[in-house]
Amino acid sequence: MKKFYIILCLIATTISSCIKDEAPNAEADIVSCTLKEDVLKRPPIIENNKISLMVNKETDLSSLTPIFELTPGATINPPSNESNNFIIPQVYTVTSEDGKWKKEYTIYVTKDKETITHYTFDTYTSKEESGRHYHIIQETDDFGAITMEWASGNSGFVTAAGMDGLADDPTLFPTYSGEDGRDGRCAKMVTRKPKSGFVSIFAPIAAGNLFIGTFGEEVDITKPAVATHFGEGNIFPYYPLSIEGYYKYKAGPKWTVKNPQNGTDYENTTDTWDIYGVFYDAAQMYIDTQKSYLDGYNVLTSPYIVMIARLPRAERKEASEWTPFYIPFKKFEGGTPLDIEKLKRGDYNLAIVMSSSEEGAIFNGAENSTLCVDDVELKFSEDF
Amino acid sequence: MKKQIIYICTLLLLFAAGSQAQNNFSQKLRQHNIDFELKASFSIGGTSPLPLPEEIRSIESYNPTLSLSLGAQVTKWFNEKWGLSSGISFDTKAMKTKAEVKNYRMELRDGGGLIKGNWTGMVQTTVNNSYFTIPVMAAYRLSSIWSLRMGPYIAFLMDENFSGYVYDGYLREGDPTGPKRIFTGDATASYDFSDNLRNLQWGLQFGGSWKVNRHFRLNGDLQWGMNDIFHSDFNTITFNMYNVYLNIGFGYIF
Repeated sequence: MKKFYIILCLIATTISSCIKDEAPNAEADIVSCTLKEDVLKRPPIIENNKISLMVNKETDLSSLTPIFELTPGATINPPSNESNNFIIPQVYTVTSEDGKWKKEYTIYVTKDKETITHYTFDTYTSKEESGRHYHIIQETDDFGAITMEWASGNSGFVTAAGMDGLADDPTLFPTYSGEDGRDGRCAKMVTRKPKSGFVSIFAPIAAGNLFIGTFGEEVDITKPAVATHFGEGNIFPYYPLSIEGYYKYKAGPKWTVKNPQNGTDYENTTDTWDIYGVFYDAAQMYIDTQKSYLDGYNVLTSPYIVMIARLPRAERKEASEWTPFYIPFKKFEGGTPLDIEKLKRGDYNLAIVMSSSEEGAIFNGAENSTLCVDDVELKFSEDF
Repeated sequence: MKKQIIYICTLLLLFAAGSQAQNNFSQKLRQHNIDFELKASFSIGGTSPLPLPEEIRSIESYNPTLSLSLGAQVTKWFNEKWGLSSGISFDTKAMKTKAEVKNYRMELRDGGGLIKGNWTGMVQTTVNNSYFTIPVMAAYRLSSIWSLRMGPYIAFLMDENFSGYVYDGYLREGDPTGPKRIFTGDATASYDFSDNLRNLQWGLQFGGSWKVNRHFRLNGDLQWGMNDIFHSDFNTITFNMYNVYLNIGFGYIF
């Protein structure tokens, strides 16, 4: 029997004692980015291939010096701590520590007071992730230059699309650019229902959504609604009056809720659309919480909200033809009182959020609820 | 598991039928210098890359699970020292592990489709494969009590399970530069590579026996797989994995 023990020990040692040295890192992320000039108006917004920096309006964009923190061991070109001309967006390439992977980041630097308030939803670009394409809806100026990109949860749906084996078709995503706009193209939002087990536990439905802000590339799958960063980066130094535009809506037939056993998690039994605007004190929020955005859990309840524009539920009806909507901004009870000085200084951000399912953020809704939106105008006042 | 029980019952029935005229049978065997042995043993080991690749950072737990091997072995002795051993056995090669990995290629599935990417974090693996194994070994008697055997075997996969789940970590979708999906708390996602297992295995078997009395022996047999357990066109796991299992048990010699 001794021999067997010896052999057994040999196997045990072979298997356990030869943990190899750790391989060099394969990731190539920009973890943080600041400007040496100290002109940042808001925290930098870092996405998987894009960084947005918002600077003071006096800043000279032709010479700014970004300082990066990267995945340990990774390198960047052009190098960190070297000045560059950001009048046009600049591309930086990060190479992983093991040298096998490269990732490009485009860095956009914008000044505040460049806010876009008329939205046509007429252009889009397709983005590929893990072999599937989805739309990013864009706004352009009269010369065709892109002036803003709408955010959506599409990137988060890539995982569900992969697990469910969906075809590579952007119109199977929750949000896409529709051909049949009122004028040109329109924004189309459709509530989807992922079938895969692990996705559906945390996100049993995926409402189509479109919003001003960003979608966090790092998604904690147990808290998906944290990924929608409403209003991030959108400084709005004016007094908002209303959101106006056109919509069509058809609710899906079968209403489902995430936690049916928990009666407090839902209020309704049918689906409806939602479009709302939130004007909030991003500067104070950043000081208090290190975040300057609202997410799916607090977008309608945060104490930093100054004003809100949202229709009562009864007024958000179905419509098979293009129907106008008018949503006025009102003071938010229990929020932050309006301070004109802070407003002028650019302390406040504004988010516009649209969803094919009103309770999409808490994953209640009806599959196939479809919201189409076109020709939206954010009305505001400059004299106050 | 059902299948496994059926295989075991079939084997037992065959042996029961074969041992009807046992006395006669034993005498005849002895006349021809043949040992006929029924073997039962526990199987302990691992289905593992050898050596461990750099993606595996630590093994957090290992459970050999209760797996059994049943079989028959025939040894024809040509002289006092040397003989030839063969037979057939039904082996279960099973284990459960939890390992911490870094940048490990992964294919997660549980709906109709799958997502690929590089996983950093924890991986649970359950292996439970059953094989019919046929060894052909040279046998050598060290003494009247001790004997050794060694030779190649082939094994046919009968029942397969190579699956598990990932947790407490993150997936970079597509490749290490893809979007990051973070799994915390109870979040898990499963994988299943059972369909990618190779049906035919071969390897080397090393065995030793200690004779307790005329009919009973204690046996130890190490089976060392020499080919990858996965099909060669299966690329998700970037390294080869081998079956290395030790069967320890007893045998009854007629």
